Amino acid sequence: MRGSRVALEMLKEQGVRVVFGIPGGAVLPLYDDLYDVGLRHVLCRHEQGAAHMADGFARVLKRPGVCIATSGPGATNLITGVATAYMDSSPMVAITGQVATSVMGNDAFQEVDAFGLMMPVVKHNWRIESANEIPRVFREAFHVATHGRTAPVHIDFPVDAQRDEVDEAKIKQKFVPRKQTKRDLSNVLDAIKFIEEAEAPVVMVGGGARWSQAGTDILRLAEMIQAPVVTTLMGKGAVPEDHPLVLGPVGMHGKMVATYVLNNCDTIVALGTRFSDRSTGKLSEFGKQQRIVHVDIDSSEVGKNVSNVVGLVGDVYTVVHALIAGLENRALRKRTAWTERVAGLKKECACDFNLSGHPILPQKIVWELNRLLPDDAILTTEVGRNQMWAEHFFDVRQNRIFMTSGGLGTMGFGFPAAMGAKVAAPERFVIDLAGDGSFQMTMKELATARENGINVAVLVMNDNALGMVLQWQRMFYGERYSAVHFGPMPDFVKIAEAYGCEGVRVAKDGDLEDAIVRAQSAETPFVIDAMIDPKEDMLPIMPPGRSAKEIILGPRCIWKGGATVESPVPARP
Amino acid sequence: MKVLSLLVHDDWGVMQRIMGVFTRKRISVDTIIAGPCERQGCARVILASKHPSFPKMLEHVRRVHDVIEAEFIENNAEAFALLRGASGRRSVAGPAQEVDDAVEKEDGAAYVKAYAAL
Repeated sequence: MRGSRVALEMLKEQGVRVVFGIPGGAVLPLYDDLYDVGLRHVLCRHEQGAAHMADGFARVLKRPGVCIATSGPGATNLITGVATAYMDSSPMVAITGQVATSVMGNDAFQEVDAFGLMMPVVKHNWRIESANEIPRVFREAFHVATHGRTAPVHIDFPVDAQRDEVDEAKIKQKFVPRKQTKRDLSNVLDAIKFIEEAEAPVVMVGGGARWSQAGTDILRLAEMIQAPVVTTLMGKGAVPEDHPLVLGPVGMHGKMVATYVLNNCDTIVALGTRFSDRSTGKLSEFGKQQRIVHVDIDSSEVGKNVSNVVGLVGDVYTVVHALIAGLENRALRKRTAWTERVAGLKKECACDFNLSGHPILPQKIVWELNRLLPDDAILTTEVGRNQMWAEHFFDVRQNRIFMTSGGLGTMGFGFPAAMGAKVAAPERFVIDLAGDGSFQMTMKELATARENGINVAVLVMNDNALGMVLQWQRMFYGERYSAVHFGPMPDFVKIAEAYGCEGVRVAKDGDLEDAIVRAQSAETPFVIDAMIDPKEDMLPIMPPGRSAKEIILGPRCIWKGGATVESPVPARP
Repeated sequence: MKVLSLLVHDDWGVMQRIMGVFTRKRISVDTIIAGPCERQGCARVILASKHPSFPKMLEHVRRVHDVIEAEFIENNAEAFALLRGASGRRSVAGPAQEVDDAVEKEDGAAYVKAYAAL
């Protein structure tokens, strides 16, 4: 069997059914064999879209998405998507073609050092030197992507290796992984001691909890130790947000109650979070008052951003169970004062965001989505204010999935990721909450969606500007607006129609319901162009580089500063 | 001066991967020795640095897929230096401190120096 065929057989062996990609000169043998092997191929319009689709696919199914691009520009276009997946620990196998080994390094046509370029944004990558390496490299790639901290991997695949024959023996050879993931629970007794001694514990849940699907186990732990649960942006949706102990997201645009409780507790049990600056605010001010138990699958994350922690290295599911086992038969203290206080604070933060206005207020859009989306809907976001409104107000209850580019913050992520999610879960309703700036970055994939019957909806919050940048220029740069206002905006309804999709413009908030309901029964991809108020800022905001004490609340926020309920823990000096 | 000893798979790009870890974190590595070792298909890389964050990098280096073993080696660093001065060329080898002193004494001579430890 020739190399390209073996590669595709390896994908099938790993359970791959769908690949996303664009062909080109250096992957022609691979695409030639795609004819025969029975893999579904989704032909994208840009390689970045292919990578985001594989990413969205992986975030739903928790197994690697596969994307294929050709050498040179194909590989460089893929990088944004791979880096997005890397920052959010999404498993992915990215395959790029490469010029033949005989001319490699000669600046051949469409040659780029994809192997070197990809290195900083993948967990590991391989350059196949001869066809006989194909079975081992592909098997190892899937093993590395899915074991330990999940992450993208990359295979640079020269065209001559695709054409050459592979020895039968190499295909049959058993794969032995080079590296085993290590677990280190040696500090578990210290962690249990901290949790037991805590007066006011908080469970902080990050993206790692979603990858290890430990939501119910975390709730069990939280109920056991009577600790409220806060999530990071990536952890949003790891635990259902209608549970009384769950307070919602923390951080720059988080819920006030969650950020307040996180900064005013005495013990943090951090599960699968890397303490990003967007979650913690100014790092030097964070966690000074608290004892921190830091659980992460990646040992290099423990103590990276926040030091003086009790570190437990392992996946959230396993470690949470170890903690539950350790705490189970102990007489745990009643933390009535703390739980009552948290419940009081939660009420203080429960604002009504069913706001009417003209133009439409963005909060109202999320309110309608909360009400109208089914309990198994998947909501993706782009990056900017749309993302933060979704983070702050969207209610991830039951089996809903919230998907966003948290680490890299890639505008243009949401739409292709929604398509990948729809491919992974065709029976579920998938909607991308977009901004007009973000949507324009990848809206060409409407063609892919139409062609492949991937009927996702896009709700564009259209403020005719780069909203988040606009807001920052207004708040932090003295209203000196520089390159944030778009001129004449393309007509998104006509764009949808030009691609053979349905589109509708919504200018009044009374029409939102009709549009969202129509989107759910549409026979094509569906674009809702909602004209929102560009003057409405995303508030509250923790200004960049500042701590939680310096949050700007804004006129609509009803938060009273947490002072209305008495604290069992001495306040910070 | 801290000395970090790595056992790595001798694959394409392994030095780039290791140095990438330090470049990203803005840590300069002062000396590098890399060469074949007793295990087939593997190599040993010895890095030395005075940078204050260098000791925190152990887990970050262990994360690199090609790195098999990584550990700091305390108190038995050796050094090698090659000098070219007015009196001609000569080499010095021995405990790190002795080599440092010898290099110091040769004021103005061109030299290159590297640390190693096992």
